[in-house]
Amino acid sequence: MVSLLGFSYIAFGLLALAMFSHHREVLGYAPSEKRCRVLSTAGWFGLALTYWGCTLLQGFAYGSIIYFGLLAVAGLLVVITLSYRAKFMPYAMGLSAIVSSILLLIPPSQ
Amino acid sequence: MKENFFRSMTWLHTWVGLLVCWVLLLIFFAGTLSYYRHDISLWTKPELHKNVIQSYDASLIEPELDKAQQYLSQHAEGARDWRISFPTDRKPYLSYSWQTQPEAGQRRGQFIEHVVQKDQEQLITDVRQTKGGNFFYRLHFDLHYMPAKIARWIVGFCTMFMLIALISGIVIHKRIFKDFFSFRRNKGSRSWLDAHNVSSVLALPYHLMITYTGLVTLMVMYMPWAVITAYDGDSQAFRKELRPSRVQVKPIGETADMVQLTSLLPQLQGILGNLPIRQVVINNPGDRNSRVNVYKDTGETVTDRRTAIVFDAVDGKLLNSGVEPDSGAQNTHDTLIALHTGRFSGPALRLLFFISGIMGCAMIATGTLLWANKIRQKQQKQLKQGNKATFGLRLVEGLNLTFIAGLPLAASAFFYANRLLPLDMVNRAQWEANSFFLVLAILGVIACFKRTLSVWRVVLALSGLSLIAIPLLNALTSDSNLLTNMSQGQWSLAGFDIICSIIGLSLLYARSKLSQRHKQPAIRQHDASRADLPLGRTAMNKEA
Amino acid sequence: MFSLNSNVKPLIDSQAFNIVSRLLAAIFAGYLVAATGSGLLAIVIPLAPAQSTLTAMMLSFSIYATAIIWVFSVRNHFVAWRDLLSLSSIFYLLIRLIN
Repeated sequence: MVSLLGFSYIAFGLLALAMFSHHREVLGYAPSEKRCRVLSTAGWFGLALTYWGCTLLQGFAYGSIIYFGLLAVAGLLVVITLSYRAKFMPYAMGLSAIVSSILLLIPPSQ
Repeated sequence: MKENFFRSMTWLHTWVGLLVCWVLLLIFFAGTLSYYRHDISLWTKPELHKNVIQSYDASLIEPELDKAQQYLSQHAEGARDWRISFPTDRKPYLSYSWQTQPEAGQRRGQFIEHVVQKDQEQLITDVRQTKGGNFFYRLHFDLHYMPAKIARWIVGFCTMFMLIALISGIVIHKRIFKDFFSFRRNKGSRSWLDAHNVSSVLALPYHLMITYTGLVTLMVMYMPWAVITAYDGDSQAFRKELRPSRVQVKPIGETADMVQLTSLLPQLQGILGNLPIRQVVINNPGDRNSRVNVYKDTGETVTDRRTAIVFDAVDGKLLNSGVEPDSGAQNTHDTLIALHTGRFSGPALRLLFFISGIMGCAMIATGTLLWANKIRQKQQKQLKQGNKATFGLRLVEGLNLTFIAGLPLAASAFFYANRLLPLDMVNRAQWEANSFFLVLAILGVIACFKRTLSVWRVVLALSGLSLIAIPLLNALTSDSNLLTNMSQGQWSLAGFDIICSIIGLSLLYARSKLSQRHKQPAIRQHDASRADLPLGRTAMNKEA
Repeated sequence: MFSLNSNVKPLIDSQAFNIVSRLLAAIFAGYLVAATGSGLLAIVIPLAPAQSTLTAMMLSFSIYATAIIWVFSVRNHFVAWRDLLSLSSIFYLLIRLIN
């Protein structure tokens, strides 16, 4: 669950970076148009991937519901990061990539 | 035409939203707390915190059923129904309860619950009078101090307005994905707008879902017309066709001995397999026309259908094996209802629902704060000349203070009243509820005279501190405390303390933000474009 | 009579009257459309009666919402009244015809 949250955070982060003003704010320079396209494609791909993960882990119905909840929280976290610690954004995404991947590798205890 | 459409939608969004926002905030707030209804109920009954909490054990069902039947026939003869509730994840104790025959003019009798102690023969019969989590649950559609029917129409009206506000909000927000992640700080009413957008858009699926499904839960009351055309208004017939297993039977007045409940177990196992039993309900015990209804624990199935396996309570014959016509319409309906109540959700999803609910509160609060801010900016000139703000603005600001800042304080007053009021007080449960509304009323009176930032700060500090102190209150007024609860894995009790403290801390954080930027106390002496920001942040943080 | 007329005319054109009229149309005429619409749906949807009734009830709020949005999107509030009232009478007549 936490790893799915982490991945949707990254996906939202990519989508945010695909936006001109956020990119400049976070990385300090204006992105090229191509870069924006790549970032936003990657972001949408990430969101799709998270949805796939949710339904895989939790079943179609339950997974879909959880997915929307996760999106809300992940989006909120991205907004908070961007408005209070914009420069920290890439590191936060990297960190959540590492943590999420590790958590994904740990088999669920049941 | 198109431009005109946008303009009228903007108008609609603003005024429809503003008209009902405080009632909606109350509904959202109480509804959000209702996700933890059973946990709140457990917390408000410290008598149950020790020796009763246990998990479901299939091997004990047989002796437990026997004991329950014995106990109930001794203590609850002539009751309207008996209920034997087995421990579930959300109500982790075994209890026998019954409803007495309703008095003349009443629809329901008195509900009495005795809780079984773990590994012991004794029962806990003396639990304090409290509404517990049901107070918030009822509050979110029955309101309070008024007949439920009127309240439900008011709530339905507001919910419909909410739906309209959401739809018009989507229409006017042309750039929904362009400004998605922007929350511009220190930008006056822009920050308000951003906060409103963020809380609305991020949880938009949730907002739409909860609003529409809310209407669906009471649709038979709001929109009975389909039943009128298709069934000539015979809603009994409609219900019977829809849920054959949930038809109520009337007693015929002849006494008859009840079948031994345990003798039904082999048949039950044939139907349920290893699925856990949640509750056994016996209607009209002791009557010839008596039924045994067995409800299974549906766990995390999303449709969350509450069908009963029905036996004749006298001869033990199986009347309904709990299979209902499986159809698209019914599945859709059950899913919609389940989505609203969230009964099927595990701890993680429940938390997500709770956070989404809080975002809903934030959406409503930031919306009305945004309105008040814009109007105040508009009236800046008159205000500088020493004129009073218009009545509308004063009203909105007063209601904002009362409801936005007041609700957390009122809720914590409810919890304190639950623990501190004398146990033998007359109408104790009602006084708990009264203390909730008393806080709102006092704030309302204060808001008539003073609506400055300093009042906001005081209220936030009070509610922050009192919520942080909830674990302390729990430790002092019950046998267990946060640490022992955690070490014993009592997560619903520990979670209550923790969530309260977190909310309290964020309220204090919001207060500190207010004082940092506002050395001068009064909003009206201040440049409005700066003054409104921390207040907006307040609303976000308060709820988040 | 003449003076009354000259008083009524500006009232009908006024912004406040427009808004109140639209609000009333949205709340009441909109409800009428939703009520008759769901009543009609319940008997025309080709499902078992309980199922079609359920579907009609669940859809009724969408009908209501659409009607309200309609009221606030047409140019003239009289048009809104006209549309909703005639729509609901058509629905009602159809119910009468079928039932």
